[in-house]
Amino acid sequence: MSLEFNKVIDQVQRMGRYAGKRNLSHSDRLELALERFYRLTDLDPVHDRIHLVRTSGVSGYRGATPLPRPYSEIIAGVGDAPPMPESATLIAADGSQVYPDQHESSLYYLVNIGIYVYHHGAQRLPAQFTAPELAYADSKIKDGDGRVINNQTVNARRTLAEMQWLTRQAAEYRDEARPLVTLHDGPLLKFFGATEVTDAHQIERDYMQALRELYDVRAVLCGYIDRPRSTSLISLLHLMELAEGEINEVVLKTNGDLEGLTDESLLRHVLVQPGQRSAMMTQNSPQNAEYKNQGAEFEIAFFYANVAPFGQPVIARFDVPLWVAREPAVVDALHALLLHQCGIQGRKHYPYALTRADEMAFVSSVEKDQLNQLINIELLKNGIHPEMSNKLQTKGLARGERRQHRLRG
Amino acid sequence: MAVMTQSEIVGRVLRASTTGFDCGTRGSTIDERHVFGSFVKVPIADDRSMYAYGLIYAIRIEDDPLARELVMASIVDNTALLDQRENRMVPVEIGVINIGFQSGGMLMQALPPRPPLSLSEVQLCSGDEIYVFTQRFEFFRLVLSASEVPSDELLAAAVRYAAWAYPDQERYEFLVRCGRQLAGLLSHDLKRLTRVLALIKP
Repeated sequence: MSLEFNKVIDQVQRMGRYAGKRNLSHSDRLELALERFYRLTDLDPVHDRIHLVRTSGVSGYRGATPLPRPYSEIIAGVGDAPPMPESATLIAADGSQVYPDQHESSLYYLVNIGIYVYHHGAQRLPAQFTAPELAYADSKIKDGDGRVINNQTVNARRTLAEMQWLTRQAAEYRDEARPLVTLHDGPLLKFFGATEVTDAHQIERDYMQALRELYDVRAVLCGYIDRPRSTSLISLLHLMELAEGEINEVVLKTNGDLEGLTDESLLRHVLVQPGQRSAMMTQNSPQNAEYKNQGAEFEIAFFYANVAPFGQPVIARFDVPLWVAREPAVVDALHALLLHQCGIQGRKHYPYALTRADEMAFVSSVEKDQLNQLINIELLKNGIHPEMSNKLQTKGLARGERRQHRLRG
Repeated sequence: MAVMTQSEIVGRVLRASTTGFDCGTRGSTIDERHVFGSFVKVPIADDRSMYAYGLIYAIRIEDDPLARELVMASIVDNTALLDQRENRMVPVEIGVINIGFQSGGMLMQALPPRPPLSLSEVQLCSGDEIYVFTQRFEFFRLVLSASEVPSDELLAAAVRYAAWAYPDQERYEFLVRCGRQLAGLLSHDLKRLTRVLALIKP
């Protein structure tokens, strides 16, 4: 037996009761947040407050800020679904990976990128392809100290490869219908921690280079975040409620009486009509400041939208660089195109192009086993006898072909 | 019918037994070659000296979770439709019941001695092959006694399909001979006989 349900059922019941109570206090906080949100109809006090936290000795504010003037939008403002552009080109890239496994017969990792090109407004067959890259050389799979790289490093390299493939494809499709939208699954602000990721600084430099190349072809780069968990807007509401003398690092570490709320939980009650979007904002963080230092156009902005074509709101977050955010017509086109994409899959509100890119990229466990077999054959041809670790072999014995004993009916 | 005059690939064998086999093809290639009741053949020897003959009795179009979501959309996006049919290779499975085999120059209306191997090419029989094969009717009994297929509808569809392999002046006579054969086989079940005869009546 793996899980004995008789031992967990009491805990499941307690969990249900806890969730019910939590919901009650959640609704009180939500009401408070909504009241504060609808008060933010004037941009000047918001700009003043952001100026204060940026210029005083106080640090630690990680919340939302309006876009720089003259591009800033009223925080409490709501934009309706814009008209659809007649034509556009959408390029989506997504990746998957096989992590290095010291228990396997050979040490390698695989990054597989799926690319999908959707021609909006044209009866054209979408283009699709995959770009697998097998890394096996010591220089790729070991760090400077000779240790096998960790999974975070593989993830970082996969993320970089996704962005680089978007860059290549954007260059290839630069003469196709505009806007030329390049879609990435996830936020655009990346943190490649130097303590966890091997060659983090190089990956950061290459990532910024990819952004620069996308800017050069004026691609409409967008990071799509499904089920966003961020609290940037809630943090702004908290900041705006504080008296000037109360602002300090300790107070900014939490969202005070709004702690526990997310932007998504608030905006589900604001963006109630299908297709509506929030104001465009940026996130105040050292990381975003670093992007901005590379050039004003590289600061990352975001907005939220209700991507459900009907029924209960489904809130998604869209990250865009400032070169996109400061062009209202381009933002409208992107907004409309992504609403359309999210309406293609019936009950599932997620961009179709990203779904397909993910499908292309996905490496199943069966495919991983087949790849291992192929590698083993090649190793044998070269006089190497591959063998899995004892641990992996015995795991296979215990898990494989397990029979369940049942009572006869 | 063009399909009656030339052999064409219907699909490739996925799984097989001596009583029948399933073959698969891409959704985008489904056309007049894939017809309920049509005659197909598949090699059961590497040197193509031996073929199994069969009738298509089922054509199944498989779904997947994405396809199930796409049909839930209020309007199916044209590009997504094209994408599904051309890029995603919607799998089509075709069920075939064996009705005979050909070994050397000999044609037998009985179950083949062995099944075809996976990925063998399944071809549509030519008009000439159907004409030769349907000179005898032992395969009627195989079809009528098969439990896993809609036997009455299948046999009627096969007879109608085969009739087009006959010259105009022989077609009526062929159908009458089929009717007589059926009368003998189904004399114990007049309701069933009446129904099958109605289905093949010219």
